[in-house]
Amino acid sequence: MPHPSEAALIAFADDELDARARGEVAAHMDGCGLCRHALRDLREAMGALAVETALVDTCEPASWRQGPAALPRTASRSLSLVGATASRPAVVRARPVTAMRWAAAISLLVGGGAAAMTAPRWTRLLRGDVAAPAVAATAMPASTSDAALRLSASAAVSVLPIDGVATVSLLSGAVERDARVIVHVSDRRDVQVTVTTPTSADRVPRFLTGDGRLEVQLAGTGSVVEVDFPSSLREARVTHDGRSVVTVRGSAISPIDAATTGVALAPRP
Amino acid sequence: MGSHPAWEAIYAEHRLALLRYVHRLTRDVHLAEDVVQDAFLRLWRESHPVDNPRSWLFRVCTNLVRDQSRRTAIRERHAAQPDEAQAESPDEEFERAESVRTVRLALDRLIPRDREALLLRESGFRYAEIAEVIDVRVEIVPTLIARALKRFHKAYLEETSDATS
Repeated sequence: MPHPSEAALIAFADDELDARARGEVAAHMDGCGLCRHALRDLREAMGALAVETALVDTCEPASWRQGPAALPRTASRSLSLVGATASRPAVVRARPVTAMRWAAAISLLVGGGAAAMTAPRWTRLLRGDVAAPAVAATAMPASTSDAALRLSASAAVSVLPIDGVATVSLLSGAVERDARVIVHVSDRRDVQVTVTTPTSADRVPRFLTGDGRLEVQLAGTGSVVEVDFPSSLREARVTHDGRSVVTVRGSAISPIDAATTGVALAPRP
Repeated sequence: MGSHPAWEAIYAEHRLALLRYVHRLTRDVHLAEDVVQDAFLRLWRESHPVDNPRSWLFRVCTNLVRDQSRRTAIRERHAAQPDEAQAESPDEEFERAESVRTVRLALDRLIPRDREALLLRESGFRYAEIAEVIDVRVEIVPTLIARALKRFHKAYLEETSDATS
């Protein structure tokens, strides 16, 4: 396949290609450093733009959020995406329900180490409460409804509903090649974004955020991404490396595209 | 449209997203409020059924902003200011203001359609909706966005270089 156009690359990044075209671009990218570099450049631009819009949003009047579209400040849904190395079998963090904010929180924890601000300056500009960097292999609360969605030999997604708060965790061992997680939400109203970057990462995690979409490129190993959504959120969707893996609609969380991605429900190990 | 039973729901659902979109385009809180209110009034008065109120409203807001010939002056006058509720050290505040300024200058170097496409994309719009809002064929949206991103990135790097030289 010839090099994809930049338009095709951006459509690939935005999950706007049909399955066949996506497969072709993905196959090409696997063996083409030039195109991977081009895509990285585009994502870098996206990152700068995303920060700009997020910063502009901090200047908006509080009254905008207190209008008729205000959301309840009670229960929330939580969605966690965790990247782990093969030597780290299960990196899962439990968040107390009472500590959940209705706004979103994202943290990137690489190697389980302490977080520090070593990112490009735009990643330092989104501020907020940082989720506690607790990483423990056995932290997942026991639940008979636990289920894991096995993506591949090195990646899995788990779904864990707890007292009306749903936690979704993605366990991935393929983070060295810019594993890419995108969370699509129906509405980003009042969703706050927090990113913590690790000191030990060779490469800096990147993220994009904007109304309706949040993208995280996991860099290094053991990356953790965490997002809380307001309970009134109507819909969310998660893709990993271009594959849709989970949808959240109301209180229902389910895997999607099982037929094409090979994602299947499996008992949690 | 005015008698549509879903009117309040449409207003509640899209008001904040529209305010943010126009605010991002103009950096002007008051203009954003005026434009969004105008758009809802036009929707209220619309005599023909509106199949997709979100796209309709964003398109109207986009056109209203385009009509603001004084937008550039407004943007310069209303550069983004830090949130007063968030205490910052002087260094943090300076860095943040500089970053906002740098990216804003880069964004301002785009033509309006490119800027609108990028900000709509940032607002979570899929390509089909972006095409509908800015009135282009959906096939060209990825080309438009890729080109806009490249231009933005180039301008951003140049602005960053200027700021540090």
